[in-house]
Amino acid sequence: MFRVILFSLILSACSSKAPPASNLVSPGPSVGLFSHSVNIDSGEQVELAGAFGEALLGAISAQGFTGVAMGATDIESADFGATRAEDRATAIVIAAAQGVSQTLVVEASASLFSQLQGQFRWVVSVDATLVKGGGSSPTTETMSVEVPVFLRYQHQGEDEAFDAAAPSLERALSPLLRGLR
Amino acid sequence: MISRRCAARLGAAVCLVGALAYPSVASAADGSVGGYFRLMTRPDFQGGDGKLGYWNLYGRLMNEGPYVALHSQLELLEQRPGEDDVWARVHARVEGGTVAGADTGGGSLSQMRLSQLYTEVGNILLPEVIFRVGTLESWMGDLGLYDWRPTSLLGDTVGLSAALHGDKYDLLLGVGDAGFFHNPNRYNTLFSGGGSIRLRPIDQVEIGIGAQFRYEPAVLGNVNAPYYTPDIDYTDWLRGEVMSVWDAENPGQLQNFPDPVSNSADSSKLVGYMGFGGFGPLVWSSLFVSYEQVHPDAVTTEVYDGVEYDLFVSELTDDRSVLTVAEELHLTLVPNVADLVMSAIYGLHVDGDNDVAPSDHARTYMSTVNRLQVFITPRVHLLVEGSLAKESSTNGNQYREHYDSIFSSTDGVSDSRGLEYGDSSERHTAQGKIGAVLNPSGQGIFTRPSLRLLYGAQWSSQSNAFGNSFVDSLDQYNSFGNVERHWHHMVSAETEVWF
Repeated sequence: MFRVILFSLILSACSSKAPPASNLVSPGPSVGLFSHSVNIDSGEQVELAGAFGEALLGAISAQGFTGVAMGATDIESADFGATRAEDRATAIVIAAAQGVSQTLVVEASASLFSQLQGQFRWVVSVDATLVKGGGSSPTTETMSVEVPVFLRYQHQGEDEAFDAAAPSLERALSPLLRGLR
Repeated sequence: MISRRCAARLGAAVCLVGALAYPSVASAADGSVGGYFRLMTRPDFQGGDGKLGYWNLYGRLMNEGPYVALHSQLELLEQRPGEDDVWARVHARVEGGTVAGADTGGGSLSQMRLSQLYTEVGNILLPEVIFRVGTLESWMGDLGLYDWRPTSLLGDTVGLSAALHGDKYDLLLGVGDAGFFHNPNRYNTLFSGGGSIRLRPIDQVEIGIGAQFRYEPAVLGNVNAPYYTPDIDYTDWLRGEVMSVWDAENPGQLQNFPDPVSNSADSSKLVGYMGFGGFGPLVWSSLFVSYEQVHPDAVTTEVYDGVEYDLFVSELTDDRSVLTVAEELHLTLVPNVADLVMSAIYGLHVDGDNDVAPSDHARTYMSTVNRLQVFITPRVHLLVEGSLAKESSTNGNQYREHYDSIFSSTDGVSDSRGLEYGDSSERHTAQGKIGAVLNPSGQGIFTRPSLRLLYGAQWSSQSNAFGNSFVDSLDQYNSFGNVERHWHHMVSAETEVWF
């Protein structure tokens, strides 16, 4: 009995040393996720959140993996420059530093196509890159997807377009994410 | 000091920079196509033509026929994010209201039209300004339940526009020619210019105003320019008796019938818009106001004694105006359970030249359409829609409430030379629709695609108030008989898709 209590105490002590939840790599297969949107006019990059971000995590989860979102602050701290390609590489380095050997890098943009019969047609363009294997010889698979979405009102913009594209995106990325297995 | 392990990771990252292509939003000469269609089958056991009522004043649902629109966009020079270099794209739209097997048009391409074609360029001459050459139509939103755009501007104009879009504003200025739109077979230059500004002081409020002005100059000698034939009596013109009356009053002097007099013509449109929402259950409220001075007609023809005469009518048709006030309210009654859209419209058509005969240019109408959509499951919905409408003719009777109503009348008295029609100056209409909606893309009253199975009923004060092929003659030799009917029932299987 004493041995059981002692073992439990040791186990709980060990678990309390785990990193904060935001950087926690869940037990089991993990996939780092770095995603951001690019404003087509200003070029401003913003971390993807909301339904779109959840859809990406859901797409990873559907393959039996756990997505670990990496935020923009991680990128800034790495300070690898401003170009998007370098951001991707940075994401991989950060993922590797956290013990994640597979990374999904997603860049999305939304542009207004036209007014069309009472709705505003937007096109959400997504470039996704799956990087597998850390170390000095990672392999990559890429996929580009365009998802048309329709918004009812003119004041609705990029954020609403990303949210509207989320269900289709989750399904569209499945072929790429099957490469995780 | 960088560790060996970290250095290896950095090396891998640098390798990847080369391996990963710069992701463009759209590659050069990249094209894409979007579109819209609705298609339905509505077998009508009461002899109608597949629509529940006459027009979309009672709601677009079950009152419109099939429609197809294809809109293509070609990126000639890509717009690169954050760059201020020049970009260019071409838009083209083909649309029309026919599909093989679904209407009388048989899906013929002759029923389709190239309704929009334009080139847009950005960051040329002025930074952030988008120049467009081609068709210029723009509007500040739709009445979704009516398929109505009260604030449409420059829809008749081909020309040049400049647009500037910001977080808090949208600005548009355009000029061009609307001559081919208004009179394609008798073209005369019709200068058209206008603009609009829409402000968003906060995310929850939008205010917009706009205007369009058209001017058709007098061009002496050009048969297609505006003219008026002097001394035409409006009643004679309506009856097609201008020449016969002239001949009766001036025997043997038809060759001295007055020559047309050259004049100029103009027209204009003012629009206003206010929208707000994004709080509580209110998704968005849109209030539209428009006032249009309608552009006058050019010419009509009259055949007398085997000879065709042109009557120039710009002065008989230059005092027509249309006032429209409309509201649409989009509510989320219970999130993920039910959405409600409430709409209303009021229209006032005034014709200052005509105080003798009923006409579409002299009437008022008001209507409300309300649609409730309950999400039984995320993809199976229940749709319930109801509408009430009242239409009033300013110049006397225009509607037949009974199958044996008189056709031509004066103050309700049978008069074969009367200018009124039927036995009522008002038409009252009520419609109800209910049915199941399958939405593969999930919840939302405006989410598409939709597959609908609907039942609709209409009651109208007018007899047989729907498109039909009934024989309405009261002639004693009418072998088909007459029928009076105020109720109209219909089922419909239909689909509506944006893609």
